[in-house]
Amino acid sequence: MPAPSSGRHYRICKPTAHDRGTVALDVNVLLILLASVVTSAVGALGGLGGAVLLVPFLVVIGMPVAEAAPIGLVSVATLSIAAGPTHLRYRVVNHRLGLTTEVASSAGAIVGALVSEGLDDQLLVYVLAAVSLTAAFAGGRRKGVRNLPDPALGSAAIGERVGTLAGAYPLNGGVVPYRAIRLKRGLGLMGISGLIAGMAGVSGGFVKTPATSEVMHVPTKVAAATTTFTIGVTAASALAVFAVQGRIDPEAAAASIAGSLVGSMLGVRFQMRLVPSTVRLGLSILLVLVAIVLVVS
Amino acid sequence: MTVSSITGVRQAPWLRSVAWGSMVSALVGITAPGRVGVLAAQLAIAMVTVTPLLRVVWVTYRLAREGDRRFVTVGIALLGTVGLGVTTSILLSG
Repeated sequence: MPAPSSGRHYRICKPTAHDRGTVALDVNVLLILLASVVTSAVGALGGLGGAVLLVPFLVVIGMPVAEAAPIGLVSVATLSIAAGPTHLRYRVVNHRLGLTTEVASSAGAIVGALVSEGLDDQLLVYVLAAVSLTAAFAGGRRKGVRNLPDPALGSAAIGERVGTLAGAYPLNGGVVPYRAIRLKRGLGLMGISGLIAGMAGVSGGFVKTPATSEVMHVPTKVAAATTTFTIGVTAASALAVFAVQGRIDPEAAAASIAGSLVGSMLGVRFQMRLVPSTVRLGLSILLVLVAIVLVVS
Repeated sequence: MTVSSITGVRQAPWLRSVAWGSMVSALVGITAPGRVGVLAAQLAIAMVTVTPLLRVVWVTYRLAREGDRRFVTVGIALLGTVGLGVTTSILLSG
């Protein structure tokens, strides 16, 4: 993985701990670490992930969007890995659906990552502000349970169906069958979510989960769990491009990884004690404020 | 319709190990001085970048064992898309 080129300004000030050759945390790395803890915890509370807050924060404190995006995507990939075991335990991830939708998302993410290097930073800030507003809207509108358990189905029916985008998942002691519909429209939205991820460094999960749930009629629980699997792949696709371009600052990205892991664990722990609708409303208001701050600053 | 044997449950302990491994590597990366710190940070980045793609490889392999050719093709198409993206970025940056 190549190091960032010397002409870039990845840090808000210098020198770093590595430059000094001492065992000490650089103040900017510490800031990214703490920001990753807080944004991942708050993001996990609202089910949106932390990057949608982390990237705007980095931009507001002076980092260009093109350089903050890889740090955001590192946070997304970390969250996908950290949340994976819980979703897999409840058998709600549909891998066939994930692979299918991810072809469009990854293609979008790669295009977004390739073009973002040459785009004007002010344009990327506006894209990020629009993303924050979309996330605020999507989070506030999320619906509850649509599909109901089928009494004819037993626990043996839980799982994906071979050769199709159908399946069944456990809910309140019953088993709920489902089948993804409107695949073309869903793939189009996945491509857009990938493009957003590649350009702005946020997960795009706030587009993917509602698209899978509301457009493709997959139950929200399955949609959210499958999205957690796929956002990791989207982030990895864009990160591979960023690595080739030499746009990943190892120190800042490492701070984001450590902070995101701690933050997502804290967020999930507190999530159980809070009312989901209140959390989502609070996060939506916060994202609107983020969009305003981005445009004004 | 046949219920698939792919649940992903066996991935869980492996993902937990990667999470803890990348955490340790990242902490070394931000605290250790010089080359050791940079290498540890790069290892942490490599772990979180490669793991999601390995999950795709694993699912595609399981689909192949299950004989689901349709979704094996989808898995290969996804890995091909990522490979094409990386190749394109290498060509553009070179």
